[in-house]
Amino acid sequence: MPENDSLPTLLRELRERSSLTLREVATLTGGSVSNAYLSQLEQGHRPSPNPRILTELAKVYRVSVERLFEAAGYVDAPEPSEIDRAYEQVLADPKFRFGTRGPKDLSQDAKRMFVELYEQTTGKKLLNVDPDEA
Amino acid sequence: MWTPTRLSPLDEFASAFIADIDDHTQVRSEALASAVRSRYDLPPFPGIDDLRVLCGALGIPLWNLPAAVPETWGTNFAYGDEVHIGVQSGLRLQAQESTIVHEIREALENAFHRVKPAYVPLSTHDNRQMNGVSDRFAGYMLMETDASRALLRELGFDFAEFARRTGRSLPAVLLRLQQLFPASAGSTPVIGTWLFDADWPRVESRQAQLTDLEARYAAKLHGFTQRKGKMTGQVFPRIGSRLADFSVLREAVRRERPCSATITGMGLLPDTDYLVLAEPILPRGVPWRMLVTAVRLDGVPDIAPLLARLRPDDLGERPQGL
Repeated sequence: MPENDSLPTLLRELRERSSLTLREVATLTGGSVSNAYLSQLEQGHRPSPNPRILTELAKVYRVSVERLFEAAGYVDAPEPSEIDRAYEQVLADPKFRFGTRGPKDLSQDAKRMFVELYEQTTGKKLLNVDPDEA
Repeated sequence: MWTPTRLSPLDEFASAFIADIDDHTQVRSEALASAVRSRYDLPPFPGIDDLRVLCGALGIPLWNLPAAVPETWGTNFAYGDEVHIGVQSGLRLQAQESTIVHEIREALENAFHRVKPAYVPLSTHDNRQMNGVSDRFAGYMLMETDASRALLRELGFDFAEFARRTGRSLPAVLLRLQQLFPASAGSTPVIGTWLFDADWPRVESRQAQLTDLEARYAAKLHGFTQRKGKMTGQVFPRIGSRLADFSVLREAVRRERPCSATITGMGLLPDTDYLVLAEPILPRGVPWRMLVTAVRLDGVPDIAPLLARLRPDDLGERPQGL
């Protein structure tokens, strides 16, 4: 998972994780994003694209639109420290245990998911966000 | 004063199963799957609806995990003794099924320890060990042994047709095959089978080519071997082999049709030669998968239904080469 969620880094890592070339992504977006433009975005040579383009890319990479919007600075993400702090509280609760079928190092999105699962099963509130909007 | 405590359905089942077992090494995947199947009246090849009903009967709520976390296929989590399972909603149906069973196995392991603290459990956090156990359990749960053997014999060892009829994925079928027809059965047909595939995103984007196809799954039935020094080890693919390196397989992709060839000179007797069947799977003409089945000639009568379905183009005899 991306270590740095700045948009250029995120786009590049999402594409590499999907084993797609720039041209293949361009094809999958139906021509909404050219391979040259995507290359410039990944190198940080272009400002954040408009939300419509990010929506197309989110579909190709099968990630939430919100994640790309956050990386592009269109919406405020909860501070990572807030998610980490809430996640630590989840881990510290001896009554709550979980195992995953996925990578051992959890992404911020995965941590947030477990915090929300914890909130919903225990009724405790750890994040200052509405889970329906997360 | 004695206060009765009521166990959850999951803990109740776990308690009954683990009564005479003290250690995780004594838990046999097939026996556990069989106990679950008979207790909850599951069919031999349960589908997603059966598994949802099973979770309900075990008192385990099922959650859809958000698509924003595609790398997490599934999870089981518990608050106290209240166990939940979450499955990635973006997964294909077959992967959802195996993930649910996988998570049930982990939930059972935790339940064993919860209801019997003296029981020495597997560490469910040791993914390397736990995943192997859970995958084996999933194989037994999703493809019941006797019914699978009977159906495979009826279908003439047509693995693709078996996958279609039972709703299982071809990789899952290949992983299960070896347990169903071990060398110790001393029977025919002797078969080696390989599944080549290309990465799905490249297939989906219509970029996949023949050179993308790589042998990723294999099964050896009734003692098929590729041991060092055996001709089968030199002629047939191994995990990681490239499809493009085998002329018969290349030809099947080129023709976009099943092809067969007889590989001769495999031993001193003609009976030790092999009939190879190559079945390309080409969605919209794009190379995605190829199922390759090598049948020792004395077992060819056993695969008559497979030959009847494929009606392969016969590419003739190939001395010691595929």
